[in-house]
Amino acid sequence: MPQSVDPLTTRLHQPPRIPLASIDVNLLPPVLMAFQKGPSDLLQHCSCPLKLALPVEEDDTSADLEARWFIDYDTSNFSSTGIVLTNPLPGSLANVTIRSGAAFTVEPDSLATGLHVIDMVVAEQTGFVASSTLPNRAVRNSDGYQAAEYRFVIDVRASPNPSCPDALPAGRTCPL
Amino acid sequence: MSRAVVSLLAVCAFSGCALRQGRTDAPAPCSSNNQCDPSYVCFLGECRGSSASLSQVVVEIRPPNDSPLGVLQRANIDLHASAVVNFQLQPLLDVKGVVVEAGDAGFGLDTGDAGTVAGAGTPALPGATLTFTDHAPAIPDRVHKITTRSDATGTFGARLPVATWDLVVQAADSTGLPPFSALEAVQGAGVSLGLRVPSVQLQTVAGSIAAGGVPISGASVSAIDRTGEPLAVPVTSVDGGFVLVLPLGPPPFRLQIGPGDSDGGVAAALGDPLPSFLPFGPPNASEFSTAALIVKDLGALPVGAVLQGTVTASTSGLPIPAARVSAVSTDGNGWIISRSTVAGADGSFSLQVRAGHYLVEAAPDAAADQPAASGEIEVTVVPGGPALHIACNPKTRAFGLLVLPGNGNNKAVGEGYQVTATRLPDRVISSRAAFTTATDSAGIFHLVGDAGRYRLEIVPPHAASLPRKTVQLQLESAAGEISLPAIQISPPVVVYGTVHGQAPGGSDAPVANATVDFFAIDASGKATVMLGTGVTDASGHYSVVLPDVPQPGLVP
Repeated sequence: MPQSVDPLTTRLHQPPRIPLASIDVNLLPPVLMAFQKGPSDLLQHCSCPLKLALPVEEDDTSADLEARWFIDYDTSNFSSTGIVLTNPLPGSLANVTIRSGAAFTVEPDSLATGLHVIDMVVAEQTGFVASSTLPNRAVRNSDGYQAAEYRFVIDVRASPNPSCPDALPAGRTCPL
Repeated sequence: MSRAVVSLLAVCAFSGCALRQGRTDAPAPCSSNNQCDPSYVCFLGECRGSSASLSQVVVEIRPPNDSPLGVLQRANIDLHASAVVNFQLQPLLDVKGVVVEAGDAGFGLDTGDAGTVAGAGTPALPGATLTFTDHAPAIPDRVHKITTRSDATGTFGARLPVATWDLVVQAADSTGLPPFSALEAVQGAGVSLGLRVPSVQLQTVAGSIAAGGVPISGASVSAIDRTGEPLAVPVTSVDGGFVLVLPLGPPPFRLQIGPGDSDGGVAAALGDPLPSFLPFGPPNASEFSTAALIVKDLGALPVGAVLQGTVTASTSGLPIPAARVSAVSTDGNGWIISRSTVAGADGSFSLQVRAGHYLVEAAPDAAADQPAASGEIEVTVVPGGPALHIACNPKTRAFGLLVLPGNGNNKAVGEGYQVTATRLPDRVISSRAAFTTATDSAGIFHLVGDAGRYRLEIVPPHAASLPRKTVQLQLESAAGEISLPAIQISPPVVVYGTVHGQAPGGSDAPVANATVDFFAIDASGKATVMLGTGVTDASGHYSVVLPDVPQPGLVP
């Protein structure tokens, strides 16, 4: 019997996606290395920040999205559930489904050495809802909102050399 | 299109006349370059001009990750000449080979038949790490590095873009072998490398280190070349003594003495912490070049001391749990101590340092509702000295207005302009992000952050067809919301082009979903400013809006 099924695009709130094929290949290793300042960096005020950036695909180009970044998010540790950075990704009338602008720079010296988990959660701006079980990243699923998430694992280490390594995805930056 | 316009186009096409096109007008339609002004190029049916002010840019093109084509970086693109720039991507090349421990054969790298070096009596080196680094990246702060590891038979494989690569082979730590470096141009298909890592043509360099006559134990000792790259596996000093294994020669090297662990080091005979010493060579020379015994006294160190105190909010007096407290020594005696810790639930902290002068800074969580970073505090630390009480003010709140391009224009932009504010590093803490909002319908954005110098990156909505803007400004500490100087968006120049490439066994074809990033190199020549980014469509076409200014990103 012929049937018609509503396509996904007829949803009230089309969920954003992270198009894996468009992520910078330097950010794809399972664990990203990040190095703290070496002694030469300390004297020159240089550092090797790790620049994380993710494309976000959204079929509804007019929807206002918001990307939220978290470090070591753990619901059993309330202080870890705070938003470290918010990237507003406003909609537009242009027919562009992949948006850039979800980006976060990790300064290895602001973290202890060892493994850390960096989460990016993106959803429609109006979809986020206050929650005690999933603070700052819950969305109103009952109203049709849905979030997309991406997780980076970074290994923060002391620089093995006088200067931290200048190679992607990190890059050594010094003041002019 | 009306019949009259079609007729006009037809007449022009046959007569070879040029459709004059002002830079600020809408693009004139065309079907060939002959129909455009001589300085224009016909692209996708429209006459495209060049930039008025923006000149040299660099570009990185990244095909989708499942593409058989490689990343391309190109420098010295002159947009004065044309704003239509096409790119051809090259296929990724399969590089494979085997790493063997080649007895007394010395360092070696054979291109061609990799199997010849893995003959009888040449044991394979499993677990070796091979790092390929772009030898001459067009974009100085986007250096591509690809790492692979040899398997149990010493065999490795990697896929690399066409380029010249610096190759470093580091045998597994258990072998004690030093890193092996080579320069390899990967230009053709089917590259096969045979890597011989010697086991006997090495030499040892021994020495002893002390500080004020006291042998240093537990310090990490490294031999590095003039670029700072290690030449040997670092060792830990024992009773001041060390033995490094270096390639035969040895090549010129300097010694780097540093903490033996990441928390600042424990030097058994000297107390905690051990500083990081600047690299050094022999007296009267910058580098060691022989294997002679090295005896070095790095000078007496100040006595150990504890820097302790509390971190509180200035308004409430309440402790700030989990604030990160960092201290950097400023005495500058050829060494530096940098320590940091996290304040406890009661806001207290304690740092083991050495007596002397320090810059100290407390940085609470970056969230908008948390207090601001304290700023740099000069402290003199002595054993048994007083506690340091750090009070953090509330974060500064500010708003700013974005203005459209044009001389004398004070018309505000619309809503939806993204603003990213990054506090630049000071002498103690690294960069921190501020909380920002996108512009509202009046072109106003809001910012909440620490006082300090900021880099603001403004990204207009796609429909505005305006370029990114990067500015620096100072955010002063203040009560209440303060007004920032108005920021004018730069005039745009649109760069167009096609990305195409030929996959192995295929024909030349457009590349869809490739990311095209444009950068300008800043005044240091070592860092870049992102100017704009675009993604190719199914036909491989892209268009990116860039700021048409002489020095983008350098606006104070």
